[in-house]
Amino acid sequence: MTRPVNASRQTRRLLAALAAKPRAWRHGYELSKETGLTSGTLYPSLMRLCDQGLLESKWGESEGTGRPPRHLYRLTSQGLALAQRSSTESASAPLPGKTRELKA
Amino acid sequence: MKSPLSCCSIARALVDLAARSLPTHRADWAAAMRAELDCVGEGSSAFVWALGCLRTALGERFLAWSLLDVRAIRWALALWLGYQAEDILCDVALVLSYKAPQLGLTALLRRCAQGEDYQRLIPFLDVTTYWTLGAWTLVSGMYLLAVALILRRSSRAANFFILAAALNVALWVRELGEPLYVSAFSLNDHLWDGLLYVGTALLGWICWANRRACSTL
Repeated sequence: MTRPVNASRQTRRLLAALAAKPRAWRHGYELSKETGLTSGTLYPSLMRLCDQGLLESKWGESEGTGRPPRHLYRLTSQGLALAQRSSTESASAPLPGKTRELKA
Repeated sequence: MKSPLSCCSIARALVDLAARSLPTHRADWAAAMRAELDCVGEGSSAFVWALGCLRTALGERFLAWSLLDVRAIRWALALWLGYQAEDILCDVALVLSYKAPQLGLTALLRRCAQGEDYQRLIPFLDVTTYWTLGAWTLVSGMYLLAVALILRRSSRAANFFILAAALNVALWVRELGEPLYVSAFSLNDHLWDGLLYVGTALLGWICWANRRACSTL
């Protein structure tokens, strides 16, 4: 039996956004706009997901002169599996008001 | 009215501060925040983005800060727990001096209860079981172990600390259900004990939560 996904509503939203384009590398600001999460919520979630091996990150190419390269994110296969479980659970049960994030 | 330029420069300063505040193992994230700010645009959105970055950085900084790494906190905790351990051991010795006079601790009874009529405690001393004394001694031993580990800067101290404090609170709550215990001491004594025990348990919880947060980094 698999354990239920114990993730906050914000993390579920982030997982869903990342899982919508599982092969694509995504920027932080793009994810923020898509999920409606502020940077103060987005970055801690991204950090925890990375720490737990659910998200991979890399540096992109510089987008213009004088512009530093940006960080890119994508779910790992583990992260994708978690996102799929999370979306299944969300569809079958109403979300609790606030649950504790994965180890966060 | 703020000009976009000033908002932008404040945002840049905030993100720089966030980058400096992040713990060293998050250096990549600091660079990522700086780079992302360039794409957020200008004005209030950059400012809000920068504030979020600062909030993240301060949160991470707190999580990376181990309480037991601070010498003053370490010594204060060691002294506090040492005092708690000694206080409990005195209670154990007091009860033993009454219940087991053959141990030769009788003189202690008068000394511990100096200036007060210890005879009023006798009904309570009578009902105090050896099992309770064992539990008190265990709590005291765990506090002393926590003190030793704290002084050795071992983060495992937090486990013994919270365990001992929780057991101490549980024993106190159990004793409150004993009318002879309640009537043996004044309300102020009970309130003071509760404050000490619950306060110590709270400190233990803070140390334990901090240790748990640090160990996930």
